[in-house]
Amino acid sequence: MIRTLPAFLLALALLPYSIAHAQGASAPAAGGDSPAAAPDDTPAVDPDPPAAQQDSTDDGAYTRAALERDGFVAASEVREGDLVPGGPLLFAAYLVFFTLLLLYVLMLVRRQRAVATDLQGLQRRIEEVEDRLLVREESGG
Amino acid sequence: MTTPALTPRRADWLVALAAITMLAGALLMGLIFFYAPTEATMGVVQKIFYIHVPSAIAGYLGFILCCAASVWYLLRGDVRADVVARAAAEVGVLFCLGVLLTGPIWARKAWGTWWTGEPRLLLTLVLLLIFVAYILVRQFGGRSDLTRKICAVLAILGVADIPLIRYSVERWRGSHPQVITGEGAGITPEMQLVLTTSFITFALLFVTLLALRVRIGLAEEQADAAWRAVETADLRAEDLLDRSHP
Repeated sequence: MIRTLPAFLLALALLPYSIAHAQGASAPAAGGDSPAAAPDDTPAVDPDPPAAQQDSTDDGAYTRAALERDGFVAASEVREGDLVPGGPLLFAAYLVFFTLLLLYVLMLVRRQRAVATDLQGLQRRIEEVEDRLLVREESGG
Repeated sequence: MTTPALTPRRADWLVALAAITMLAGALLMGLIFFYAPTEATMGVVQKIFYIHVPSAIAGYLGFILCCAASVWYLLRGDVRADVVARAAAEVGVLFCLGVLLTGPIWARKAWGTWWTGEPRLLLTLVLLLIFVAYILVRQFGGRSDLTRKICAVLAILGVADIPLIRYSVERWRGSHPQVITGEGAGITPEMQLVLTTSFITFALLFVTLLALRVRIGLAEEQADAAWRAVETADLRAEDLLDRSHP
């Protein structure tokens, strides 16, 4: 199992590239009946707003100010790209999942080694008992 | 006089299964990131769905298997069933933890919050905590029959939480999306293909991890029994020699 670690680490290293590719994918597809749509009245967010909508001179400061203000915030005050970023969250989710998996596999490897060590100890003990009994039998007790 | 070397046997079928699982995992990652379309409302974060949902199913499967093996252990006293129960509980906790960690990450984007107090989420958390308790008792409670029986009962009671989760979805609905229902999944054919591949891959992963854990568990039990047998044989032999050569 420990031999699979390089492949696992390679897969982890490729994950950001994959997510970057997914983010840069073409026009989003509708999700059927959009059953996984955001509940409540959370505004739907397009992760890739058209370039024309993005204000290149704005660093998003006015968006943060609007979001930090108490009370209601108009949708026009918030630039879509400045809301919760999807890419890092997606990366975090996959990273968490693969890390959990890796930790469990490492735990299994540790247990397997402990069993192997235990069996070696058992073998030594069996030989020790056999030798002692043989010596005692030969010497007539 | 020498005894044959005691080393764990190599299981080629398990190595093959692990290799197939890794290949399926690589294929799945390719499909998720390069084939599955981006969902219109949530964007790329929706792709968490492809590990979140199969993890939930695998987690439930682990807990149900743990319960079934525990019932078998209580009825027949078969230690192998107990080993399977413990392995299934561990694998179930792994996947359930995956669900409860990836879910809030999705919710942060979709709902604007990491966690809500809706019944489905809370009952899943309770399910996880019950089986974490099961593992802790198994880990620190020793290998006595009493510990095994207490844990078997705990597993049976814990699984009763799964129908409650199902009932909570029907009764209270909540804000958690219901993508897969009795009428099928409301997703595009491309998403359906990726989801099906994901289910197959997670099934392979579940079986691989379970088989590996059961194998280790059986080896631990056999080593434990062998230690007891050697010590008992040693005492008896000493006793016999004492009697024959007083």
